[in-house]
Amino acid sequence: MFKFHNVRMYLLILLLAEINSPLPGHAATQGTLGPTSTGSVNISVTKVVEAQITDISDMTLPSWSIGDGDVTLYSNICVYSSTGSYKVTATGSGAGNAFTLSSGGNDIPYSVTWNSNGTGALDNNGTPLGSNMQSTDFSNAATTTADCNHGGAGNDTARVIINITDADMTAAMASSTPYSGTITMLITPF
Amino acid sequence: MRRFLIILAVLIATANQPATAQILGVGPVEISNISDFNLGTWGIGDPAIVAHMDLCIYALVTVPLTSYSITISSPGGYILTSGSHQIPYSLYWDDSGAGNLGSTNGTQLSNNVALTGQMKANILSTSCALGNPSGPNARLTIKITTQDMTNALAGNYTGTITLLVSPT
Repeated sequence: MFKFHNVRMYLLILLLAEINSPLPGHAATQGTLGPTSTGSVNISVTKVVEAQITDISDMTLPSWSIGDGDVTLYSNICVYSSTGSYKVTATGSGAGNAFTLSSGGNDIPYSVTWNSNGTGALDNNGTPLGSNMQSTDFSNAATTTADCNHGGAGNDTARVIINITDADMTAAMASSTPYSGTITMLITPF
Repeated sequence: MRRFLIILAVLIATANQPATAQILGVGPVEISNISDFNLGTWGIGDPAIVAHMDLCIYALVTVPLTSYSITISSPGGYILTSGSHQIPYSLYWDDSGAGNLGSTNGTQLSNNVALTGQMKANILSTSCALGNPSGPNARLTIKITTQDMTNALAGNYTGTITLLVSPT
């Protein structure tokens, strides 16, 4: 028995501009006529709070049959945050935003885990996410390159992992069309 | 003939100057038309920051003819700070004179190091209102690279520079 699973994820970019007035406590001062003349200039610039999620890949399991056991799929991701910190909200495409793969009227539930270990330290352990629920605080986002130096397994800063239990796979009805779903990931810097 | 005309202009110009002004020796100077550099907000994808202000430098011409120097200093160097975080910037001085500002990129300045030999001060008016052409005669440009802005963590960054004009 073969079952096909295709989870497609789409890029979501969140830009949150925190526009604060640039400050100077006092205005520029003019020079006065004299043997020398001195003035002063205040300089201000605001780096906005913003984030970007890139280097996302689809996760595909070509087939599954009895005896193959639990399914684990993952995608390494580049999360940039100008603060270095962020929260993530993952939303499934099933009924009520559930994390489910669907084929016709049949569903397979899955769970989502987020690993935020940062560059060079990603693995399949992490924090379970509830669908459409903002996560706890994550750190280790890229702060000096918005695309993690063009991404790639060695440069990405986070990993999203999906798990389907052997029991759920076993219980699923065989289908001639793949089971598929979409996870939307919203990154919120703070 | 040229020198005569210059000296004549000096005499005319000094006629309305304070009693401390001297024909011989170092004359008074003044820098004005100063404003703040409010560089706004910056986010990923924005270009490098380049901003300038046009200044009025007045220098009473003395005999022999003198130039002026500009020294721009900031404690800790040309950096903006937000708490413990920093963004470096660079400064450029353009002494092209009234009507010609922007015709060159200017000379890059170093913190607390005098840039000497600046010749295009206004000799007729402390506000640069007289002359042909009149108006601002020096330009200060600030630049921050995209890389330095990208590297910076989010925050409000500020700094202060002091501009010192001296006759030389």
